[in-house]
Order: sequence, then C-alpha cells, then structure tokens
Amino acid sequence: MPEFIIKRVLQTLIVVFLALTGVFFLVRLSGDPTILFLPPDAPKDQIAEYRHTLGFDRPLYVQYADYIIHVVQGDFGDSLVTKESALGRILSSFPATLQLALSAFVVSLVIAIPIGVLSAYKRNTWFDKFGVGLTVLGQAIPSFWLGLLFIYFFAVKLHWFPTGGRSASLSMILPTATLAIYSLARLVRFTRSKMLDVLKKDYIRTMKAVGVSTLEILTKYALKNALLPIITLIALDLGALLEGAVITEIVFSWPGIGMQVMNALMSRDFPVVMAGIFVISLIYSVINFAADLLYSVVDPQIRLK
Amino acid sequence: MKNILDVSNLEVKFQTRRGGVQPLRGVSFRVHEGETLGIVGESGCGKSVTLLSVMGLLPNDMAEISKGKVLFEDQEITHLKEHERRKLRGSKMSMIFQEPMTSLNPVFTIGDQLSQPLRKHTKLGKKEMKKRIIDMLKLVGISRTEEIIHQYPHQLSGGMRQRVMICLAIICEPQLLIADEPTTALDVTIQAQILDLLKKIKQKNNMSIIFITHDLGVVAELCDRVIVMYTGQIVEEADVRTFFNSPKHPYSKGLLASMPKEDERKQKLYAIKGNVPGLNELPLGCSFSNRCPMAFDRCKMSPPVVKVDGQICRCWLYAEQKVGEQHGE
Repeated sequence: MPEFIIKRVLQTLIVVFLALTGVFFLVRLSGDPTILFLPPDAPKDQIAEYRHTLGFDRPLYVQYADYIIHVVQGDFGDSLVTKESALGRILSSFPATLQLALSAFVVSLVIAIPIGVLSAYKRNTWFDKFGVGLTVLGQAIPSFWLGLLFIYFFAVKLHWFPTGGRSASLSMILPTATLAIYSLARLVRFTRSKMLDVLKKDYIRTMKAVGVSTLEILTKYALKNALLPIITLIALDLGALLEGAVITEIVFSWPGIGMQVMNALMSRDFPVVMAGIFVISLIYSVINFAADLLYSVVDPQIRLK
Repeated sequence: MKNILDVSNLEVKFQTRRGGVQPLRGVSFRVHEGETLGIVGESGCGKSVTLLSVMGLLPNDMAEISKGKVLFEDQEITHLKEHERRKLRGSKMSMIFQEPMTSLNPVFTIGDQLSQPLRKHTKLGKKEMKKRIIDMLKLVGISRTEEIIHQYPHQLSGGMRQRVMICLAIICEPQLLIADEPTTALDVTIQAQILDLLKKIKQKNNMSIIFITHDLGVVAELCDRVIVMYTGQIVEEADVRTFFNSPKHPYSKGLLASMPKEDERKQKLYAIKGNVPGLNELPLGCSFSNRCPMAFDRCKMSPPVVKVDGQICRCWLYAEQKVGEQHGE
C-alpha cells in the first residue's frame, strides 16, 4: 500500500509537470503580452523597456527554466494585470467552481444511476428506448449551446432564473443543469451497459435460483458488481465536470476558475493561466487517485492483492 | 411411489432475431420421491432448457413455455406468478450449476450468499442462521467453516466452490435438487468426492435429484433411471440397469458405444457420425435419421413412442413389435 501511494504521488507530479510545460509553450504562441499592457501609440523603446521588466525579452528556454525554478519553490508569480498573486487569484475563485461541479455531479449521479439500472432491467421496452434516446441527445448537444438555450427560455422568456452571475440563490440552477446533463447522459449509458453485463452473469442466475427477488438483485447484488467500473467513470467524470465548468462558467458568468483562466487568456495574463492549469491538473490527478483507492474498498479481489 | 415432479408434453419456444426455434418439442417425464433421474444427450439437445423451465429460470424476454404442464407436488407451476415461483425456488426445488467458478458473486462473502435462501424462506434469527450455515457447510465437507463464511469466492478452489454451491442449493432441504453437470468443470478426484457427497445428502434428506450430464459413468454411478434426449425430445427412457444392458434407441446405442471401456484397447474411440442438427434444420420425420446407422424409409415420418420391455423408446424399429402403447402425446 505505501508503495502504491508513493507511485501515485510521483505519477501526479509528472502529470502536473507535463501539463505546465505544455501550456507554458502553448500560451506563448498567442503572442507577446507586453503590447497589450501599453497604449497602442507607445514608443518602441518604452515597449522594449517594459518587455525587459517583465522578462519576456529573454530566450524562451531561459524563461521556462526560470518559471519552473519558481514553481518548485511554490511561486507562481503575480498577475500581469492586477499585480496580485496569480495562485491567490485562482484559489479565491476555486470555491465557486467546486460548488458548481459538485452540485452538477450530485445531480447527475442521483438521476443517472437509477435510470441506468432501470433501463437495463427494462431493456428494449419503451422506457429503455426513450431513456437511451434522451441520453444520446444529452451527449450530442454542446453545453455552450444548451446553456444559451436555457438562458433564452428560462431566464429571458420566463424570468424564472437570473441569466448569470452567482449572487442570487437561484442563479446556480441553470449552470448546474447545463453541466449535469452531459455527464448524466454518459453515466446513464454506462450504468445501463454495465448492468446488462452483470445481469447476464452466472452468479445472478444463482441468486434467482435461490429465490432472491428481482428488485433485490437489481439494487443489491447486481448493482455492487456494476458499481466497480462505474466508480472509475464517475471519478473521471468529476474531473471532466471541472473542465466542463470552464465553458459553463463563461456562458453563465459564473465567477470560478474557468472564468478566471478565460479572462486571463484574453489578456495574455500568463501567470494566472499557468496557476489555473496547475490547480486543474492537480485536482484531476487527485480525483483519479481517490477513485483507485475507492475501487479497492469495493472490490475485495483488489483489496487482498 | 409418489411423484414429486410430473412434466407432460412440455414445449418451449425461443424468439431470436433470426426467427423462432423450438428447443423443446413435447417432453414428458416423471420424477419419484427419493429417486435420482439422469438426463443424458449431446450438447444442444434440450437438457438444460428442460430443467430451466422446471425452475422457472428461462430468460423471459425471449423464451416461452408454449404448451404442456409441469406438476410439482401435484401443483401446476408453469402458470404461477413470479413471486409464487420464487417461494419454491431455493426452498422446495433448487439447482446446482455447471460452472462453480462463476456461479458465486465475487464481491459478496460466502456467508452472505449462503444466508440468502434462509432469509427468503425461513424465519431464523441471525444466530440460528449462522449455526445452520455452519452445520450445512460441515455437511458438504468443509472444515474451516468459521473462516470460510467471511471469505470471498476467489479465495476458494473450484471443488470448494462447488461444495458451497451444493450447500447453497440444499440449505433449505429441498425435495428436488436439479444438478446441471455439476462435476464437468472439476477434476476427476474432486468429481468423485462431489458425487459421493450428493449420494450422502440424498439418502439423508430423502431428496429427489435430476442429474444432467453427458458422462455416462456418472449416470451408472448415481442414477436410478435415465432419460436420453435428442433435439428437444426424449428418445429413450429406461431404468439404469436396462439402459446399460440393452439400450433400444440407435442414439442410446451410439452414446454407449462411444464410451471408452477398460477391457478394450481400441485404436480409435467410436463416435456417432455427424453433428446434432441445428433446431431450424431438423431432418423430416425422425430427427436422428440423418445420423442413424439403421435408418430406413419409414424414418422420413415422425416415429411413434413405443414401450419395449419396460423401456420407452421413440423409434420405428420397434413399432412392428406391437407390444408398445402410445406414451406421452
């Protein structure tokens, strides 16, 4: 077990490092940030001087080495725009993202697993076909478009919910729904197919042969077997939800990490972008790690190995 | 002797994507109290389908009992509601399956799985239940009982798992035990132990057993009576002694001839020529006629069921003897 944990921590470090490296070079493809911070008619020597102050005149590999050395020391630099700590800005918007992702996660879980189980049981009936049809639709609709549709109907036309922001208590309903629908669709399909696999197994027939009812087989016996692979997907999904939150946050002006990173990208505020990537990749790795641990709790065959 | 099970003229239909097939075409047999009935035949002849329909475990989205009756303790059970069928399963009739390795759920303990039939069919308290489980595990020859009930299936060997399966099947002391090739997946020494165990339990509880197998040695060892099935029909029924001494149906003769004998050292084992035909490509008349060495022109018509010397046989060869009476249909 300790060996396993050390291995996973090392893996996490590598993943985060690679993500930072990739994004470091990618954002620099977007151009020189210096000119965005000075008036368009600024003299050339002033631009050069400011570029020198920010360190963007150095060769790329020097900038990179310098950045990594600072990151290792926990220093993500300051925002080029507000001069506050870049990591601080990202962390301050983290609760909003977490709130959105978690509520979408819970909503999709609570709805998806029962529907998945039921449509596996009622395979090829109208319920199953209708459910599967809806999930295909849910997976096919891009969330930015769905978000806009929601805003148009429920906020603009019906005035039920605010169009965006995080001020009113009702303001989280639409972003949560938008974000939940995608992962819900995936989860329903996955739960259904895993349940179908499990229901064909010999040990399910054994339980039927001793008189266990269908309901109990579905909710206790088959579900626990099906849950094993589902847990992995759920964990990946939570990661994907955090990512998906980026677009949803932009559509609904939800003040989370996604908004921050997006705004930072628009103004080429590289330190904030990098800090955002750092936090997102770290969370993603941690969630996967947690999923593996959880897996070993549910599956005795793994626990004992 | 009292009948525990009386199956008459049972027909089952399967709906598949390529159309309907009929894996059972009018099967009739009885099982007496305390008797062991062997059902033999090649793969795909309807042995398992027969007994799954007795248990009510046919996949109900594609299979249906289209005709016939199944009387269990003089009660017709094919029309029972699912919750009424469930009361019989595991308590009065139960089943052991072919694959001990996959028939136990990998994520539940042995104790949990063994407690299921008791929870469904008895009103035992927790302690009594545990005592019963431990007693029954001892009966099936498992010694480290306290340990086993907290273990998971993957921690047990195949033989141990089959003992657990038997324990699961007999824990409520059923009148009828259906064993679907319970020893096929086990090695020979374990096989012998499991057969001995079944004999012992049968005597102790005066239980009836239906034993599906394609191992005729097992039949000789365990069974009182034998049914031979071919393409969803019973082609011969006899008591075990008569069956081995003078089989009547050419198919039974073929099966017996393809058994290796210890006093002979042949170069090659006998095999019935050809394969079991698919259910949608059965030959006209007698479905064995295309493989039968004794087939003649009358075999193009459906053969009669005749009684010869206390045996029942579905064949034209004995139709002339006039000793028979129509049976079943």
